[in-house]
Amino acid sequence: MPAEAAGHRTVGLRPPSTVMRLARLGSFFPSRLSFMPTLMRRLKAEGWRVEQGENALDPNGYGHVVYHACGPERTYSLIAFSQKLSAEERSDRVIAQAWDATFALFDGEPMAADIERLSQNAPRQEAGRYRPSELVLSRANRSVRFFDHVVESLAAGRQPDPVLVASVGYLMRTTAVYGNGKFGIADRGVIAERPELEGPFQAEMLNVYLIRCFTLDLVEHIARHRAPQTCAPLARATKRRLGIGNATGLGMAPFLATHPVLINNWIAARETALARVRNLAHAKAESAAAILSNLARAKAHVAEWRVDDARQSTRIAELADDLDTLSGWIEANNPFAHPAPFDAIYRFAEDELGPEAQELTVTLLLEPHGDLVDPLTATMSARETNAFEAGMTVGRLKELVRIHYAWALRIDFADPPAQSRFWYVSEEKLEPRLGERFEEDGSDREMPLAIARDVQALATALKEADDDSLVVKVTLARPELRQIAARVQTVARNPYGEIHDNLIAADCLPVDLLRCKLAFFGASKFDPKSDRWTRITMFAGAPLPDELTPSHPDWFVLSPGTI
Amino acid sequence: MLSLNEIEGTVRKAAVGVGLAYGLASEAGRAAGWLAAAGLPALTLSADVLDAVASGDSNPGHAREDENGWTIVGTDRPLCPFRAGVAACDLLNAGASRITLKGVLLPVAAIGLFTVVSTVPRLILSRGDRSDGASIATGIVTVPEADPLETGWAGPLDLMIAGSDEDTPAETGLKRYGEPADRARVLSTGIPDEPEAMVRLKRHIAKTLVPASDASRERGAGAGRIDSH
Repeated sequence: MPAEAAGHRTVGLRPPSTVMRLARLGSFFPSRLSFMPTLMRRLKAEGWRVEQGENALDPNGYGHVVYHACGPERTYSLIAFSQKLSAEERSDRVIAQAWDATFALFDGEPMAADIERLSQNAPRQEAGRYRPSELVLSRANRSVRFFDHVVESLAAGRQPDPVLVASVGYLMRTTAVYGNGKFGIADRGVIAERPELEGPFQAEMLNVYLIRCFTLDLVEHIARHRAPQTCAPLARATKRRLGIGNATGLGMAPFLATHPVLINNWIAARETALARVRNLAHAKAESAAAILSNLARAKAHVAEWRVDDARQSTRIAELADDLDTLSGWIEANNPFAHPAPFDAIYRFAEDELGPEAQELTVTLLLEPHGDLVDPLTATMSARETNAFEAGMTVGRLKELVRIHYAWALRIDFADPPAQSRFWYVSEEKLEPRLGERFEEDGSDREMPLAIARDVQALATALKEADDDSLVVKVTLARPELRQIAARVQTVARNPYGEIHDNLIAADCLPVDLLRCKLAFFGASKFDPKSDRWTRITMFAGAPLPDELTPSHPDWFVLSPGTI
Repeated sequence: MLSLNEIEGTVRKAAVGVGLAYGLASEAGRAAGWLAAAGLPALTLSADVLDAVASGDSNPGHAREDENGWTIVGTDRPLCPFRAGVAACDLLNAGASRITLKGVLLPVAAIGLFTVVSTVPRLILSRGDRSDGASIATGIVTVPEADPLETGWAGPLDLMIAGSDEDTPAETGLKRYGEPADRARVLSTGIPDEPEAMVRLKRHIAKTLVPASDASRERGAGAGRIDSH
């Protein structure tokens, strides 16, 4: 029963002014709305089979191997190419030119000619060319010492050191995953209508899941050939807790700012889900039990989360304390025995705990309520462009600026720190980068991510125009304002589409942008290596292929062992 | 073969490189996607348009309104179809019923814009040099077979654009561009590369790029010796 029907106030969505701050976005955790658990639930519910196909790996694990993901209507195949890589060639930088393994997610089952063609291209990654039969292109490097340790252990008939398993957490880490038409692969339009891939990044997530399968099989394959008499298979529990690592940097950071409609849909789904749960009048016994159980698992998960970064270490310590506080409060007050229990839990977190604990509480509240939450995954894609409404009156656009960009109008850009940085595209790798405006060249080629500054320019121009005139008259004279005018109009329709912070300020932390996006992917245990890039792990703790059955419990992404 | 995303992204970035505002460049990219899906040489057309912008051989023009509607006119050079085309689309979307573009370079490029930017349900385009022209509805362009977009719309020429409530009569001898089936086909097969045009467009894109500095390399993802495990 909704809380309103039981006589309680209705809780609305948290406003964009609260949610869309970098500090909060940088505190997000994955939830059941995230794209990895969403994929896992679909594969389970629809009984997908994930199995190894052709294996042309040599005893050292070099060669190629194919994995098939077979669903009710279609099959997708990961073609993995594994090669020997010298220490000098191994780099996680996007500028690297060779990798331990390269991959193509193929639409259907590849013929020998497809594999041959891709063997000439996939190992070259960006330097190769591809066809619309390829949906995703990616590559990964071994976590060398851990990879070797696992192989050696298995070959000797032992399991790998659990301390290393816990501290490393993956056998390979991806350094790029490309989709949507890059280098000739399929455009998003090829798969956008397919139910299994219509959600955001589902093809990319399937690709990474199959890479995980490949890495788990690869260590066993090498160990088996190295010592056929003594080798042992990797224990199921160890397999399950190993994921795929990733190093993510500035190349991904502007995405949140350049896709306002898509980001709105992601955040709006999460906020709607939270409001739905908070508005429940009573807790079912199983929901209450799940909250308590998942809180305990999340505490264990956080206890395992160790990073070198001083800022994040402090936040993790505070989060651990906050989760203890939350446990204590629930135990002392038993909110499940009272009306609107989930709203009470959220309000306690909001009033008493830090932002990391608040956002982890959101994950906890959503997890046992799949019936309310999961349908919202269907709303998380986007097709709308930033359409410019030329026939809007100047007065109306002024009003939209006032309503949605008051935060931007307050920034003093005469103060140098307010625009000490600029975003640009690097000549070296055609990737977004962040420069220091007053120290480096290139600000004349700045990317249009100075949203707040552009809004101020628009507001200034609008002051000169008659309120009853149409915006088109402003943009005919000042076409450089068309983009920001369209953005204001778009954000007015999609209020969670704008980050309410200055992305060129000296104190902007791009790693907060990364964490928000990666949390929506389903990544966890963020391990910032600077304010501009982070390591993460994907699919750690996720079901193994033979566990993709409807009877298997849903994967809670913040379980312990999700390294 | 190229993807639609590559076509759109390449033209968008090149348009920024020659100095088009981002809001215009993104529309030019979308227009190029339509041209490619319609089977037209999108990269060559776009490169021709952008080369003319870069060399000063086209003009953004300025818009004026009188009793006959809006006119966008250049000075001593042909109108840039991307700049004038976006302006015309915006005017149409804001309620203008008649617009004349005087002396448009490569009007076929502007037609791409009318299909993706204009929200007017049906447009009639009349050519200044002939009595017939094109009609545009729901992203589909119809022209006389004798005057196909491939050869007949090179310009410079005047374009008169007007909204229309009338359905196009089911005439014979018409050629249609931009059918959904065309788009589905290029999605499944890819789009033939236009290497010479790609080189020209990349030259413009290069003007948007910033060389890496040692500082930027040190700050990038995976920077330094990463194999700590």
